[in-house]
Amino acid sequence: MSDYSEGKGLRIPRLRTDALEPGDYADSTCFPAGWLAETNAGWRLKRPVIDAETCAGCLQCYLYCPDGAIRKTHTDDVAVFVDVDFCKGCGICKTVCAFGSISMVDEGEAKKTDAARAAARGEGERA
Amino acid sequence: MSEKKFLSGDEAFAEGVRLARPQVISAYPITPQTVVVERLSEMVERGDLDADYLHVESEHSALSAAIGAAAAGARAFTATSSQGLLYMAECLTYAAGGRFPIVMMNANRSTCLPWNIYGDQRDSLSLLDHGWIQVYAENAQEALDLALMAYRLGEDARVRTPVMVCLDGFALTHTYETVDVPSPAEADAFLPPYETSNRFDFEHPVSIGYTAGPAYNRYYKQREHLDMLAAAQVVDEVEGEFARTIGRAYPGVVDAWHCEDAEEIVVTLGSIAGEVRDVASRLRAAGRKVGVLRIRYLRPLPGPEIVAAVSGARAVAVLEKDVSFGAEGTVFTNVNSALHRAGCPVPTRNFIGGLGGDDITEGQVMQIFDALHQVAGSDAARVPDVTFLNIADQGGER
Repeated sequence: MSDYSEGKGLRIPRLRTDALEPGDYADSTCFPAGWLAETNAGWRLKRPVIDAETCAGCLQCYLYCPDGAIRKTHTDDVAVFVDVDFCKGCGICKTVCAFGSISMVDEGEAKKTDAARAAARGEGERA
Repeated sequence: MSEKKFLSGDEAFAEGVRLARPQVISAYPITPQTVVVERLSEMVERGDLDADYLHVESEHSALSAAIGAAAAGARAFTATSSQGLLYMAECLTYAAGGRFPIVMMNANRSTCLPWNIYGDQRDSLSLLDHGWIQVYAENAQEALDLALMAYRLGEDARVRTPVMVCLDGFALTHTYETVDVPSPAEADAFLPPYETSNRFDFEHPVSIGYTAGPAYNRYYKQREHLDMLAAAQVVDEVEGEFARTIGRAYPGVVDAWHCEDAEEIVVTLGSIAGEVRDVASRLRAAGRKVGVLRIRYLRPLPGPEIVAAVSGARAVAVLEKDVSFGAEGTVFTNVNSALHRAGCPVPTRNFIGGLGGDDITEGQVMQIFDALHQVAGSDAARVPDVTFLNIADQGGER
């Protein structure tokens, strides 16, 4: 199963707090797209995981996601991935999926898997 | 060349807005603001003003539409009054926090209940903390001129803050005077087109109106605060440029009348200042050392200017058309704070009048100056901290 929550180069660039001073952005709420002030993922108890084998690419989850946290991959192997920095874990994507391709997994368990994977790559835990 | 016209305050303001060339006007009519938006809609209909005029379904929508227009880079105008302003309250912080320099005219009017359409200042003063510059006009000429100056001030790169121009309902919005209306060429020389990077841009996509949580929020709020404070200096520059291009001078954030040698000073704001000066000039002719300080800009708070004007006095009154229930007049609170911060020990008293359109008579103004004379002398304890004008029973001890 492909896990596009890791992005595989598709991740949206995030603000690096050490790269910008408040004076660079705090004078309005207008800033180039793709540079968001922070993530918003702390509410999530369950994380949606998309099964690439059964996903039909119908894009219903992409359309229904209230936070725009499901993104197109623009690749052939699976149509969408979950942007875990912004997914609140509401499960609407699982509900609207007509192919049963989205399962909600325990967030704590998923974080452990993330950490193990990052450690294997020699990276620290992502913020 | 400018021309003389006989205009009400609302009509004069509409002339000023016409000269400012807003690209979008969104408004919902409410007495006593109605005339200004009627005149503007007629100007758009006749082709005297090239603007999109949106007759929206509510004040909340009026300001929301103006915010949308400003977020697209347009110069936007709206106007309201009283309950309409309160209905806009949610959107006020969107405009201010988004740093959209919209100009709004507010016709100062009582807030219900009881229902009342006449003038007092409870509407705008209850919204002092929403991030808008607030300026109070005394007469129709100043109202017209402020329509132009408000855009130049709010759009200044150092300020980028919306501006609320307040006109006393009926006393100013519906009374007529001869007004000098600048020519379009003069107005254009004063006010350049609005240009900003704080807008949607299809060539350079931006995220606009986004979230900033606990880690970043304070930076935005401090920026709003500091830029509003900086506006006080920009007011002087804008008025200097206005005098150079249009030929009329204004005195900055406050308008001090004979305060230099005054022992007793009445601080007030809006159209009542003229009457207070009339009474004060008679008292001066009779040898009394009195002065009048008209607050023009209440946000940013002109603290240093208030202190400079009244610190030599022996007693100061604040006359205002509002009360913060359970406290005192809001202007009184602000003036006292400025004096306290500066360590200025002059005794102050609050006079609340004109509520719901009640006349503030010359006799009442005379009573205020007489009360100040008591405060400056040995009878200070006989003058309560807060006095409601035109009411015999001042209520309890607190």
